[in-house]
Order: sequence, then C-alpha cells, then structure tokens
Amino acid sequence: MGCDGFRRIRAWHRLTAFTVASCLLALPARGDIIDRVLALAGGDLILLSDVQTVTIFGLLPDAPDETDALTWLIDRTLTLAEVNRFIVAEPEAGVIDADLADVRGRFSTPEEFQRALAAVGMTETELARVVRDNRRIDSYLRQRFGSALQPTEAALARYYRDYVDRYSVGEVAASFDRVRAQVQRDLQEERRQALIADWVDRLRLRATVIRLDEDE
Amino acid sequence: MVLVDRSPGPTGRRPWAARCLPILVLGGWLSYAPGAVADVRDYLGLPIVEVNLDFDGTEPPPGSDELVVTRVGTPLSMADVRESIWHLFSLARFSDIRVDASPRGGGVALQYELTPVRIVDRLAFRGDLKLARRRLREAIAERYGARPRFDQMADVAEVLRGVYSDEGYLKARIATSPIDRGGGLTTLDLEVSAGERARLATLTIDGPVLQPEPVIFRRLNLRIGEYYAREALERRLADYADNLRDRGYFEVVVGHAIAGRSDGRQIDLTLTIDPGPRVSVEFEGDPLPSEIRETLVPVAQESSVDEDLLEDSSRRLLDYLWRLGFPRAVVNYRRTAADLELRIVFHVDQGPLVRVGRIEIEGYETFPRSVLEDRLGVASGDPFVEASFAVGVAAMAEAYREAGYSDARVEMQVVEEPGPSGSGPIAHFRITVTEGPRQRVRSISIEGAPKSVSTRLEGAITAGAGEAYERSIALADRDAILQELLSLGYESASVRVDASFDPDTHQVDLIYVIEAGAQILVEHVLIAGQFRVSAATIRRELTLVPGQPLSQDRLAESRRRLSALGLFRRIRITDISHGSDTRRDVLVAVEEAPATTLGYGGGFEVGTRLRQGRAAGGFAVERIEFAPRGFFEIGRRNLWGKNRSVDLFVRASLRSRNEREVDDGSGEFGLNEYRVLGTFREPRAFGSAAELLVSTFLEQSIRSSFSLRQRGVRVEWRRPLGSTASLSGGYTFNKDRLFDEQFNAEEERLIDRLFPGIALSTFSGTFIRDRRDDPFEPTRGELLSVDTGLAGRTIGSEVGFAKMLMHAFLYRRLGGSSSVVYATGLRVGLAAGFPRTAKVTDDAGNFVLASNGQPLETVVQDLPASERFFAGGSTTVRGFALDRLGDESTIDQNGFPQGGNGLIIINNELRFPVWGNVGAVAFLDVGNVFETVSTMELGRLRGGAGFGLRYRSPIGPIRIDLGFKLDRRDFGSGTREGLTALHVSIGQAF
Repeated sequence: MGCDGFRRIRAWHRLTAFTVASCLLALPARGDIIDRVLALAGGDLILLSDVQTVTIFGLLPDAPDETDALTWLIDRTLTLAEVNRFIVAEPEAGVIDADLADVRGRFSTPEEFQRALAAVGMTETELARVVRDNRRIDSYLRQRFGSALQPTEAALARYYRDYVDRYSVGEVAASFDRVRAQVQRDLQEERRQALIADWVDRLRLRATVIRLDEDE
Repeated sequence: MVLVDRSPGPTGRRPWAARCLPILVLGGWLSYAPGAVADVRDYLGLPIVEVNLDFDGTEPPPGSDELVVTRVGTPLSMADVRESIWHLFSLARFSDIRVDASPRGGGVALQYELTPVRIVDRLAFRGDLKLARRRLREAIAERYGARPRFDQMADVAEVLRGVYSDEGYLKARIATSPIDRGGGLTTLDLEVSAGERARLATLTIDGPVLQPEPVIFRRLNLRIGEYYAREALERRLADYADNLRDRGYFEVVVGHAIAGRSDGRQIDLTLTIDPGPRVSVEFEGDPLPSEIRETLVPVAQESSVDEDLLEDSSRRLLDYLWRLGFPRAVVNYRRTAADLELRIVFHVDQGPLVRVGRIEIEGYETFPRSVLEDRLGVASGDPFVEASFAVGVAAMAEAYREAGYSDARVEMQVVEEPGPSGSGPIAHFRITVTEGPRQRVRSISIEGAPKSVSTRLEGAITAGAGEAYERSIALADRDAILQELLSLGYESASVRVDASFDPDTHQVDLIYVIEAGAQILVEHVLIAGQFRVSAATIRRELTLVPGQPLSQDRLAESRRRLSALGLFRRIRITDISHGSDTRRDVLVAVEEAPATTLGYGGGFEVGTRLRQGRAAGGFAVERIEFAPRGFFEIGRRNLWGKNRSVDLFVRASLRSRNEREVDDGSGEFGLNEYRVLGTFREPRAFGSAAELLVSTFLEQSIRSSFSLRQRGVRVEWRRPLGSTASLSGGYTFNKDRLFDEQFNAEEERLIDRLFPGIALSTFSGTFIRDRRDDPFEPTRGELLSVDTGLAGRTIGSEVGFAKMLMHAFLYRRLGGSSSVVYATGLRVGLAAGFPRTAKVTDDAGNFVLASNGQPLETVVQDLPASERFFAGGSTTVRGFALDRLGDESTIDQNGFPQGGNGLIIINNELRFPVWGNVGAVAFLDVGNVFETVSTMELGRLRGGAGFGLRYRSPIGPIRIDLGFKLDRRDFGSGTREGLTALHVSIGQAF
C-alpha cells in the first residue's frame, strides 16, 4: 500500500476518532449521586442518606463501613417493626438528651453538627427519634432476651477453659474461682447475643429484604 | 474498526488513532461511568434550576410530577430529596430510585432515575418438558403468584426442579433467560431438559410392620421398576395411615425417603411405618350417651392419646355432669399398656342429682324481684349448677353497681336437704342483698387533654354532675372521648376513667385521664395513578386536608367518597411517615376504571294482559302473554376530567299490539314496547352538593287500556339531605300520544277523546326519606316519599293539573330479634285538573258545529290518561290483576280500567322464614282508585288477602303471591270479576 493509501487511512482514522470523541463529549455527563434507595426491608425503604446518618453521627459505635451500616440498618428496621407491635416503655427524656449530647460532641462546632444534619436531610427532632428508637430496641431486647438461663458449672468451666486468655493478666491466668462471676456474665451475654442473632435471622427470613447495593 | 490496528507506523510510532484510544476510552468512561457519590454539601442550598424524571423508557405514572417536592427555584434540601424518593417509591412501581445532582449555571440540576419494577408476566416453556405446562405454571403461581418478580427468576427454576424431582426426574435441568418486552414486562424463557424418569430399584420398610411387606407394597401400589411419584405415594400412604387409625392405631406415623442413584435412573425407596399401639377407649360406672362419649372424649377424632387430651376429656365430662345438676360427680381415667395394645378406661361416678329448691331474695328495694330473678337466671326446680349461680349472683351485683350502688353486696347461702324418696337432694338458696347508699356524681373533669380540644372532648361527656353514678355511662363517655381524640388525629391516645368515691357524702368525682400522645397532622396530600380524572375531582372528595388532623374516620370517609364516584377500579389511601412524629403525607393512589361502560342483557316476561275479546262482546279478557325483552346500555364516565357521565339506555320487548282482538289470533307481533333514554349527569353541579341530570326519552308502552307513546326532555336537580334523605326538583316537557285505546267508546273520558296527542309541561318535586336497613329486603326502618307535579297552560302545557303521590312504608321485626317481619304501607294519590275549554271534534277530527254555526266548545277538567292513577297488581292490591282495581266510576262496563284522580292503598304483610332460603308471607291489602278527590271514601275501599312464598336468590327475593278478592263485583256487562290473582315477580311487594 502506498503513502497516499496510508494517508487516506489515517485521515479516516482521525475523522472517526474525532466523531466518536465529539459524540462522547456531547453526551450529558452523569451527575453526582446525592441519594438513592439502598435496600427494602419488610416494606420500609433504606436510603443512602440513612446509611450516611449512621456513619456520620456514629450511631453504630464500631465505626463500620457503609456495607456494615446498611446491614445494621436492615436488621434495625426489622427489629423496630417487631418492637412497635408491643408496648415498650419509652426512654426517659434525660436519656435521649444525653445520647443526643453525645452525638453532638462528635462534631467540633454546633454549626458543623447542623451542616451534617442538613447533609442527610434530617432535623434534630428526627435524629432524636432515631436515638429514641435505638433505646426502645435495647429495652425490648433486654426485656425479651434478658433472662437467659443460668449456665451450669460445667458450662462455665468449659467457657473459662476456651477463653482463658480473656481472664489473664499478662501471662498469668486468673483462677476460675476468682473470675467466676465475670465468666458467668460473659457466657450469659454471649448466649443472649446468640439468641438475638438467631431471632433476627428468623425476622429476615420472614420479611422481604432486597439489597440494591449487592446488584453492583 | 480502525481503532484496533495497534501495529507501529512507518516511523515506529503507533498510529494516531491508536495513540488516542486511551483518551477516547477514558472520555467514554467518564461520560458513562455511574455517578459518584457526592459530598452533597457542595450542592446544598443552591437553587434548583432543573428537575428531570427518567423513567427508563417506560410510561410515567400519572401524577408522578406532583410527588417530587424538590421544585425548580427552591434551594436544594436533602429532606426534600428524601421525601421525594419516599413519595415515588410508595407507588410500588419502582425497584430503584437514584437522585443525581450536577452543577448548572450557578444552580443545581436534579435527575431522578427511576428503575421500573420488572414483572414476569409471561412464562415460555421450551425443550423436553415431559410434564404438562399447566402443572408447571400452577407450581410457580402457587409459590410466587401469577406474576413473579424479576428478581425471583432463580427461585422459579428451583421450584420447577422440585416439581420434576417429585415426579422422579432427578436430573432435570432448567435454564432461565429473561426477554425484556419493555414497559417493565418480561417474558421468562424456561428451557427444560427433564431427562430420564427414575424407576424404583429397591423397596424397604423401616419399622414394626403389622402385615407382611409384600402385602403393604401391594396396598400402596408399589412395584420395583415402576416410576416414582411423590404426591401420589404420599396420598396412598395417608390413606394407609387413615385405615390404621380407623382400626385404633391412633398414633400411627408414616413417611418415606428416597435415595437417587448416580445415574439418575433408579431410586431406592424406604418407607417408615410405625403403627404405634392399638388404642381402645372404654367407659365404666354410670352410663353416658354414646354421642357425648365421642364428642367429649375425642381420642379418635384427634387421633391422639396425649395426656393433655385425656385430662381435658375428663374435665369436659365433669363439666357436662355438673351442668346436668350432678355437683358431686367424679371422673377419672387409667391407661393399661400391654404389647402393642393400649387400653384407656374412663370411670364415671355421677353421684346424686341435686335440684334447686326455694330461692329467697331479701334486702332489695331499688329493683323489683322480677328484675333480680332475671339477672340470676336460675329458677326453682332447675338442676343445681354452682357456676350458673355464681354468674347470676355476680350479675345481680353488677346491676346495682351500674345503677350507682357501688358498695352493693349480694351474698348467697345454700342449705341442702334430702329430697323425697327416690330423688336426689334439694338445695335451697337465700340471697341477701345489701344495697348500700346510691352514689351521685359530684364533679366531672378531664385531665391531660390538649388545650385546643378540651372543649370538644367535654362535649362528648353525657354524664352530668348531680346525676346518679352509673358505671356503664362513665365507660361509654370514656369511649366517646377516645373516639373524639382518634378523629382529631391522636392515633395513640388512651383514656381511662378514675372514679373516686367519698364514703361520707356518697358522691363520686369522675376524672377522665387522657394520654393524648402526638397529634398527627396531614402534611401533603399526594394523588397518583389518575389518567383521565383530574386531580381536582379526586381532591374534592377527600376529607383529608393538609394541616388538618389525620384521622382514620376521615381516611375511611375519603375512601368511601372516592368509591362512590364509581370512577376507580382500585383506591389505596396510605399515610406515609418519613422522619416526623407529627406529620404524615397521605398518598391517594387510584387505578381508573374503564371510561366506557357497556351493558346488555335479555330475558322474558310472562304475565296476564287485558285484551278485548270479540267473542265476549268486546269485554276485557285476561290472557297469559309471553314477551321476550332485551336491553343495551352504553355509558361514558369522567367527561372532561370531571365526574360527569353520559349514558344511553335502550330497552325493547317483543309484544303484540292492543289493536287486534285476541280471538282472531292475528295479534301484530313486534317491537311494540320500547324505551330509549339518554342521560347526562353532572355531580356537584354548580359547586353544590346536588347533582344535575338532563335526560331525553322516547318511549312506547302497552298499558292495560291503551298504548302510549311519549317523547320529551327532563331536567332534574337532586340534592342529598344527610345520609337518609334527598330532595329533588325537575322540569319535564313531553308529548304523549294515546293509541290502541280499548276503553268502551261511550265511556271514554272527554280528554282522551279530544287530546289523543297532548303536550305536557310539568314542574315536579320529590322528597324521599329512606331509613330502611335494606332497600331490597327491609326488616326494619321507614320509607317516606312525596312526589308532586304541577302542569299549567301558562308554561306550555296543553292542559293543566296538580298532582301529589305520597308513599309511607314501615318495617318492624316482631319480638325483638325475631326473624318475623311486619311490613305496612300507605299510599295516597291526589290529583286535580284545571278546567279549560276545548272545541269538540267528531271521529274524523272535524269540529262539531253548534246551532249558531260556531264550533261547539266544552270544558275539560280531567287529567290525561298517562297522568291518572291506576292500581291493582303485584305491588299494590294483590287480589286484583294489574290496573284492575276500581269500581264502576273507574272501570268501564267492559272491564277496562280508566284510571282516576284519587288513590288510596293500604298494605299489611307478615313475612316469616320457613326453611333455609324459603320464606312465606300472609297479606291483607285494601285500596281503590277514585274518579275524583271529592269522591274518595274509606268505605269504598276494596280488599284482597292472600299468601305467598319467597325464595331468597342471589338476584333478590323471587316472589309468588296468590291474592283473593274480599268482595267481587259485576261489571256493567254483567260479567263477574275473577276471585283470584296470581303474581310472580322479583323483589318484595313494597
């Protein structure tokens, strides 16, 4: 193929590339996502801004990423629906105020706190409601799963053996008799958490839960 | 493609396009990459300059624009964004919603990207199915409904694999692929490869068998080499278990398990059959009726010998004996097990029968003894049932407490003595009432009520200071207050009534303690789903208004009013809470019904008809007539977005005309009776609660003595007055023409002769008050209606008259809740014609001249035939055939009714059930038609009595009535009236 032929081909290449580039530039650039649906849990929507509320305000103390926050919100939504079916004692106003003050304290200035609220589309009252519902959930779970069975001595001893490191100071393990009360509390709490987890699993099975974040 | 040539160019450099490729790809990626999650603070507060909704190519749901509250010109707020997402999602039309923001000219442009819910509405099966498509569809529908969601696609395949496995296709393969047809609809393509059906390779029974294994296999129709089918096998196993239960093996357990071999062609089947012990239930001691033994000891029915069941059975037997008056009865049971036998023996010792002797009541003043005895509910001679006495004594005490005697005590003493020889002991009762002082209400107060509503709540209290304290009234007031609070939007309100008694003054302070909770107010009312109906039409019917309380009453009322429009197939009103404790949005989602309605039908009518009999000298003879009829109706609703409608109704009957006499057998058969009616309806006309109806009609009807053709227009204004009454007024202009008259020529009314065709211009008014419990088959309530009409020559009528017809019906159940209903009714009609002069004409229509050569004139004062009253028939006086009630002044000598200006009808009917849906009635009707109002006399009323049957069918009660005349008269021709009249119809007589 001669030079002219090459030139002709290159001209075609340039023209094609120019056309493609022009078309791409002419297409409207997609904007920034400011909110979206992330999940549907038992008929309730969970939005991106809900997840951001959890992370920005530190409502889940373990500081998880957004995926964990969404999982927590799904479980919370299902649990709250169950809690609302029963009469659960309202937390005292002082408790909610203290929780809110704690949340506020995570921001350097009140203005920063207000800006954070605006960013997730919430008011202080609505945030207080979230805090209140968290307390109500805790209260319900304590009420429902608080009276775990007293573990047997054998179970306590086995738990102590399995987690003896927890009861060690440096290299020295505390004797079972010395930490027996603590072992009992830990084992009971572990069993309680297992019961709650099992209950929430069953809630999830009963309800329709759709996670849209998993589509991507 | 030019961009794929990556060979170096002559200079060793890659071609230009290849060098540009990364840039182009990057550019393209930047353009198409999913939007990044932004720091929304960059956008917050910026003015919104554009809002777009992208429905992914599908039709936007109507009203969806209204659901987006981020409006152009307002600053961007995330609360609005969240609220908009909630609103849109509540339509249940989208599976995903994203909101993108981008800077645009100093502001922000918003784009809502809405992903429609994808529905699998079609299933397409392909491949080697082996099973019927219907079976597969049913299995999917049973699990996921007729239209599974797109995201359930994988589960659908799993369900089908289960179906195949149950039929022995252990290696069935199912591949699914969706075919998007647009509009959110998807066809799910299911490619099936059923594979080979497995056969039974081995048969094993696990458990202690009662019969040889081959016998059981034969019984279960199981053979090696046969195909496996789970459902059929389970059915046969269940039959086998039932058979064992019938033989006393109540605890039998059966089941089966399969193990497929690796080739998928063979199955090893293991049956589990544990018959358990054979149970026998026996009774010893005092005998019990067999049906009581079976009912109260349901071991066989429950197929269980559980300890709880046996204890419950003992308790039930004991209760049964106590209720019969054996208070010392003893029942126990024992179990005896040996090998595979279990014997349960109930021992019954009923003890002596104790009867109630004297009942003495003392210390009562307020109530008469009969009231207290009624409350006690036990009488001397009854078997002594301790529980019944306890309930009765408590009821007596409650009667006093309800009447304000809160300290009242009722005590009972029992003295038992031996009865006469051969009978059991007698228990005598002494009931002592200590009434104590009557409490009066000293004060009434409400605590905890929100200030803004306290006055309204006080209005709900009916108890008053100074009145006797009655607990039931206080509780009713509490409920009324709660109802008020709920209707004011306090959805979590609770109310309790505290009564504090002052023992010194015997007075009560009533305090209604309210915990109102938050008042829920309506923030937005969102309307969605309407295509043709305007949002304003829907809004007009809603009683929920932004800023007003959200109450369940208003919600229900709004739904009722929208339903009453008849424009919607489905209405969903939901309150949406998003973040606020006190404010909710109300979403009204409607699905419109088709705008065009079409109706048609056919049937036939069988009835008696009056005809001139030539052989009878022109005298009226009744003939049974069969007339096929049909109707057609077409309507268009929701004209111009409002709830206006237009309807066209056409009805026609094939009947013979009156002009031919029946004896010649040549009646002109054709569409001689018809009705064409066009109606325009405007509800809430001119912004009022009234509706306006404009109709035009063309009608031809065959009446007893004449045929009538009418055409005209009518305008009617109808306004409801509360829920049970209505008032209407109207104007009608019509032209009537009489033809085929059968009147005796000598007796024909002057007006009918002079005005066979007549124009009438009439103003009318109607009042209706309907308080019946059921319009088709009322059992209680009243109906009153008054119709009035006024026609005058000054308003365009050829003759003038005034007319009134009043109906009053009353329905009562006899004996409280009895199903016997007494119905009575009174109908009175009064009419008077205004005199006018008219020129007399001969039969040819020429004026008859007087002796002075001028046309002869006469005064006409009658009403035209179409406006006169007629009576007799299935809904008036049932001893008479249709229109044949009257006397010599209103029935001509040939027996044809002429109608009159006065009418009285009085009906009495007793309706009672007979068996199932069949009922019967006995009736006595009296009434008459009078020539003029001045000749109306009660002494001239004629009666008919009779009986009838009713069958309650889905289309209303089917009625057969046979009426007998109480007095028969001779017509002028000497013919005597028939004794009876038979009526067959649908619906009650009145």
